[in-house]
Amino acid sequence: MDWFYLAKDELLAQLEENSWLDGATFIREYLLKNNEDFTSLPEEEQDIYLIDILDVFENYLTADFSEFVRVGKRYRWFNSKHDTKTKEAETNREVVLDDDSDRELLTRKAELLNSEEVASILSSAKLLCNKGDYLGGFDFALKYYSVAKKMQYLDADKLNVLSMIIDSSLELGRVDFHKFYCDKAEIYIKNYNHENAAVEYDTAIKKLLELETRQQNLISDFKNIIRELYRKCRIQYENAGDDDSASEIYVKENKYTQKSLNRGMKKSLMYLFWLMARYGESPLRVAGWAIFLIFACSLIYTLAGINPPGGDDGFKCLTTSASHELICTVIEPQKMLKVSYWSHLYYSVVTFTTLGYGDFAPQEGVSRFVSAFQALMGLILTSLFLATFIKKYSR
Amino acid sequence: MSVSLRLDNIQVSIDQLMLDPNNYRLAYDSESESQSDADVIELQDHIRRQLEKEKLSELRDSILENGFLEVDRIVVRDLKETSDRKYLVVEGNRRTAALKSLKDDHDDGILVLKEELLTKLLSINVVLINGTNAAEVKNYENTLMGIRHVSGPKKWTGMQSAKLICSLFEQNKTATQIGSLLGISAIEANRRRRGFLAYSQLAKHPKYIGQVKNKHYTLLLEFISKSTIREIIGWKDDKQISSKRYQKIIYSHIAEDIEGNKPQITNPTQAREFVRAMGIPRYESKIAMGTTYEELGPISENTEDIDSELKRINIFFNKLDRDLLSHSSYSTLKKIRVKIDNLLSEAG
Repeated sequence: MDWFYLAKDELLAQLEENSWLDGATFIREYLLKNNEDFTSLPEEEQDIYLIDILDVFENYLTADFSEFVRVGKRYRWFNSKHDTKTKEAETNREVVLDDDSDRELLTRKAELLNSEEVASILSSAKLLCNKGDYLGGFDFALKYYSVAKKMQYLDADKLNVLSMIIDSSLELGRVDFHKFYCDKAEIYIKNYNHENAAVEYDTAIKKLLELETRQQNLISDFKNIIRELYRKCRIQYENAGDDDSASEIYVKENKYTQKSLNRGMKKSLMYLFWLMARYGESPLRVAGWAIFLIFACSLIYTLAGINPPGGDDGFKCLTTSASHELICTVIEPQKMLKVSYWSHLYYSVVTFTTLGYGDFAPQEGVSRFVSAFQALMGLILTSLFLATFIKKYSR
Repeated sequence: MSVSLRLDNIQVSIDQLMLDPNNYRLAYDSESESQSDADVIELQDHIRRQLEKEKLSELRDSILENGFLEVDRIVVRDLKETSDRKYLVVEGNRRTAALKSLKDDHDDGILVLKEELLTKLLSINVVLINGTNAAEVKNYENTLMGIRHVSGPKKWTGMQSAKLICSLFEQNKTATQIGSLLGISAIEANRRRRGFLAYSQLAKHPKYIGQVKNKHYTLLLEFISKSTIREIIGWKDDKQISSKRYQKIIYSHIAEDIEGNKPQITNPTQAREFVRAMGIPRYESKIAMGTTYEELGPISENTEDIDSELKRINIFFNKLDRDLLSHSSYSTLKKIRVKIDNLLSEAG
C-alpha cells in the first residue's frame, strides 16, 4: 500500500513518546486523519477495510522494521529501543540456552519442578540479564520468584531475584515495577529491617515520579498509589527510628497531595500551611516567621508612629500653699518626646505576645490596624509553634 | 421456550470464560466453517486478535474510566469438552475480550489496573444457560442474539440524551466529569445541556403549550451553540433566553403557536442560516426590528458577495441552452423577471 510508508513514520514518531500503542486504534486514527479515500467510505466499510489491512500492515512492520518496532501479542506495538541490547544478546543466546527445553520450564507448575530445574531457571535468568536480554531475563526471574514464593525459599533468595526483576522491568519500560519494590519492602519488614523497607518504598516513588506523564496515565489510580507508597515509606522510617527522614517523607507526601488538588480553598490552605510550618514539620520555620513578623511590624510602627506613655492629654494638679486649693493645668501631649527604634521593637514584641502592658499605644490609623493584625498572628504563630515543636520532638 | 431450559446466575473468573469462534460478530464472510467445542481453546488467540479490531479500545477505555458495569450480564453456556470448568460466551464476546485484554496488559506490565477491577475479574456475574440437550441451548442462543443485535436497543434521540446530561448536571457533576463519563467533550456536554434548558423553556411557554416536539430541541441547539449568539439573545444558564424580544422572534420562527401560525424554520439547515444572519450586524438589526427569515432573502457576509452572486447568475444565463428549458423552468423565469422588474423600478 502506498500509505504504509508514511503511516510507519507516524507510528515511529508516536512510539518515541509512548512506550507502546494499540495497533488497531493507531491505524484507524491514522487513516481517519490522513486518508481521504478511507474517510469517504461508509462506517461499515471502514470497519471491513481495517479488518483486512491491519494484518497486512503488521506483517509489513515485522518484515522490514523489526529493529524499530517490536510487534507484540494482539496488535500491541512496542518501541524496540528498550530491546537494543537484546538484539546483540539474541545471537549469543542460542549458544547458552537450550531455548525450547528451558522455555518449557516456564510453563510448568512449581510443584512439578525439581531442584535442578529450578536452579537452571535462576541461572538462565542471571545469564540473560547479564547479556542484556531483559525480555527473556524477566520471564525467567519472574518464574523463579513465583516458585520461591510458593515453596517458601529463603528471603535472601527472593530479594536477589526481585532485584533482577526490578532491573529488567525498568529496562523494558514496564509500568508495574512498583509492585516488586513493595514485595521487596514487605520481605524486609518481615525481618524487622525497617530502614531498608523504607528505602525500597522511597525508590519506588522516585522511579514512578520520574515516568513521563503518558506512562503515568497508563497506571490507574496513579495518585493513590503514590500517596499509599509515601504513607508506607513514612511508617517504615518511623519504625526504624529515623525521624528526620520520616518527617521529610511526610512533607513530600503533603506536597504531592497539594499539587494534585484542584485549585481552590483547600489547596490554598495547604500552601499556606506549608509556607508557615512545612505542614507542621518545622518549628524552626514558625519561629522564623514570628521573628520576621516582629521586626517587620516594628518597622511599620516606626513609620506610622506609636504614642509614648503619657502621650495623651493630661492634667497636672498642684495645691497652692495659701488657699489649699487644687489648681490643675492642662498639659500638652509630649509630642516632642522621641520614641527610639528599640521602643518600637519593644512595642512590637508586647503586641505579638498579646502582653499589652499599655505603656505604649498605637496611634490612630495604620498602627492600630497593624497592631490588631499582629496580635492575631501572634496567637496563631505561638500556638502553631508549640504544636509543631511537640509534634517534632515527642516522637 | 422449552421448559427444560434453565438460567442460572453464577460467578466465574475471567480465565474461565472462552470466546466463541462461531460468534456472528466474526462472520465477515458467509462461508466460514463452524468450529466444534473441542477447538475452542486452541482458537482463543485467533479470536482475540479478530475482536481486537472491533473498536475494542473504546470499550477498554470506558471500563478503565467507569469500571466494569454489569448492567446486562454476560451470557455463557457450559463448554463440555474441557477438563477444568470453562464456559463459552454466548452473549458479550466483545466485553469479555476487552476484559481479557485489559488483564493481559496488566500482567504484561504495560498497564496497571485498579485493585477493584482486578477483584472483579476474579468473580464476574454471568448468566449460565442450562439445557438438557444441545439443540435447545443452541436455539435459545440464536433467539437471544437475534433480539440483541438485529432489533437491539434503540439509540436515544438527541433530546433524550440531553435530558440525561441535564440531570447529571443537577447532581452537581462538572461538565468535564460528565464528558468523560459519556465519552463526549465538556463543551459538547454544556451545549446539550443548554439545548435541553432552552427546550424546556419553550415547552413551558403559554403560547406554545402542546406544540413542542423533539425536533425543536435540534433547532434550538443551533441558537445556543455560539457564544456571540448567546449574548445577543441574552442567554443565562438559569434564565435561558432572557431577552423577551428574541424569545418571541426565535419561537415564532421555529414553532407553530396555539393559534396555528406556521413556523418558517423547519430544519436545522435553515436554523443555522438564520443564526448566521443574526451574527452579521446588518441582518441582526433587521431581525431585531421584526424582519422574518423568509424576508431576509439570501444571506451573505458583505455586499461584494451579492455582486459576485449576480455575476454568477449572469454567466449562467449566458451559457443557458434553450432546448433544455422545460415548462416549469419557464414559469420560474417569469417569476424572476417580475422580481427583477420590481427591483429596477424601485431603484428608479
